[in-house]
Amino acid sequence: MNLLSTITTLALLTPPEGAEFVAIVPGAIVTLVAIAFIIVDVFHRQGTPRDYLAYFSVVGLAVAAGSCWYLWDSGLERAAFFGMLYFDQFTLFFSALACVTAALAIMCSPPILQAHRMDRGEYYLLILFSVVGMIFMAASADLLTLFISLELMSIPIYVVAGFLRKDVRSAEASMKYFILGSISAALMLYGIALIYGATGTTNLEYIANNLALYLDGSGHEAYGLVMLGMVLIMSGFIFKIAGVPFHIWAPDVYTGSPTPAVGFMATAFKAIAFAALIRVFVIAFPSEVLRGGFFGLGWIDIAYFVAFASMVLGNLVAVVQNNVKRMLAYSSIAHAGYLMVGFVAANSHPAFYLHNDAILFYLVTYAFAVVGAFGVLGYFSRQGQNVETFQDLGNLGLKHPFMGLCMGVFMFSAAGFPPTAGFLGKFYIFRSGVDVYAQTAELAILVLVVVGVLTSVVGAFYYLKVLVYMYMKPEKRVFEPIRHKGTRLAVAICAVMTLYIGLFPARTIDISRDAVMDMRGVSAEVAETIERGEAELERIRGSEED
Amino acid sequence: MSWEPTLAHFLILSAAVFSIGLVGVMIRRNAIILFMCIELMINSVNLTFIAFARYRFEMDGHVFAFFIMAVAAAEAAVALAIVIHVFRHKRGVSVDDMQALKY
Repeated sequence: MNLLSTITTLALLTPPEGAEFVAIVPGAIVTLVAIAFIIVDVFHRQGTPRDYLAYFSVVGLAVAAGSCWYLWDSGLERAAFFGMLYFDQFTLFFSALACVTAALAIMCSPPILQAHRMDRGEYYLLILFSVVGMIFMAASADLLTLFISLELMSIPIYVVAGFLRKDVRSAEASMKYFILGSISAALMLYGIALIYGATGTTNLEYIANNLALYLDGSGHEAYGLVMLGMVLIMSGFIFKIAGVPFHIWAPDVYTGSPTPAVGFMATAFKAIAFAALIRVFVIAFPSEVLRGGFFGLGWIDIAYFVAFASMVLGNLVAVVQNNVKRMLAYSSIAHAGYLMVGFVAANSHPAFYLHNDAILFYLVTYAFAVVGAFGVLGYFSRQGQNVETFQDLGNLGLKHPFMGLCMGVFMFSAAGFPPTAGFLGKFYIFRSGVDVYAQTAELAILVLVVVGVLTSVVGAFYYLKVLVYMYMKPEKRVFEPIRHKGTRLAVAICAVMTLYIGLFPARTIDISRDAVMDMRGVSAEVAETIERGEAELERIRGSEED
Repeated sequence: MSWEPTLAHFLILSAAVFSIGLVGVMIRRNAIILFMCIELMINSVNLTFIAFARYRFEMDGHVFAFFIMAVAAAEAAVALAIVIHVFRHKRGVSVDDMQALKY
């Protein structure tokens, strides 16, 4: 009898035709590919190369990315599975981005693993599971799903960082990454516990509702708990994007890990952490009291500090690096700073919410440039003779014209030169900052933009240094490239996309704007901003047709 | 007079345990001890969740604590594998030996 009533209750709660299951389609595809991968790997004949397994996972990831494109217009109004997962264009955008970067990184991987005599299927499998975590993290509508998917995305990557078993530096990178990553996860978890204690819920929308009741009423009894919890959650995100002051792991981990996997870590982690950061802070903590806003000391002010410190420290320390991978690691800290400028500008007030599209656009441009750059570095890597320092790059550009050309495109994009995508990415980020300054006359945001522009000049120095060494310096050691077709294809795709987005950005910008506009569960003020933005867009499109 | 622990007592205890874990991670040198300190931090979070859940007569916090335990177990498995991996290279697990990657 009891069982019967349970079943009827469940049947009543389940929506008709299983409509909610659409919410897990991209994640489920990657999971199924991973499971199929395990089965295929079991039947692998020992001693033969595993390239086909890499292409198998690339095809699976491409199917998952295709499903995001296919489901673009079938978002769900409310969070699926009892308020656990959002399924909107914001989710789909980041799911597709994670799948594409993972696929490109995997295409570059087989020769690196073979060169280190670690040609094992687990490498691809761990990356696939990490992608599953990323997809659900971008979708999470509850701090519970957020935490679980955060761990699902991180734990496999701790192992990937230490995958080159015979290399002591890989082991060390894995250890350092694990210790610091676990501390940041524990800090974030404590923050979630405090938020739960203060509001009685872990659902993002309910948190916002309950906070509105507390903070706008007379009693501020839970204010301290909420503030502390918020800071701790933020620190967890800052660790994942490698922002100052939680950046210290990045250079060591990037130097020690397998080179193509670093491209995946540097881009996809940053993208997904920003997705969850925007989602959590826009939905759960919209209140003016918590937002602060330029030294009223709220979460915007923390982001302000992170943006400032990351840009300055990342760029200045990158200048003095002699190891190319370390230089790219510090420059990725600087990029976290630029992205944070966009975050500060777009979220300092609900009226500027739509400027978040600059962050999404920047993440796309950044992803192609960095995955490509690490692909090129991997192309010249063999055991015992990796490309490490700038001197090692000597003359490589002239000896290998195609790779040199692609590296040139990536470096110009990362430094922010037209006509590459990186220029437009930076342009949109800084434009949103200037726009906010024009509307609020807050000097603080203008200062941030000026610092951003000045530090990107410093950035141009060390990016162009790579090209100077590749084309104008004599070679010190002879590097045999790995001559792998997959790597060449992946690098070519990255270079083409970088140029394509730089020359014809309209479509990517439209997609980013749609994704930002389609975010569900936002506060009334943000919803109003979105409505205004949609009306504006309608008007522009109408006038174009006339 | 009977004495009953209140929510505040549990929160103070869990904050103290969390701080011990955090300080331990910063000052200890042995990797195994570091993992124990991280476990301490995670378990103090569990205590916080359970205390709040009891205080509010809700189940959400209990559920969250179970998930944290499952994830912490997965983390511990990876942690020990990494420690063994490092031990094979260095014949020791002190973080002072981690000097291959610097500057």
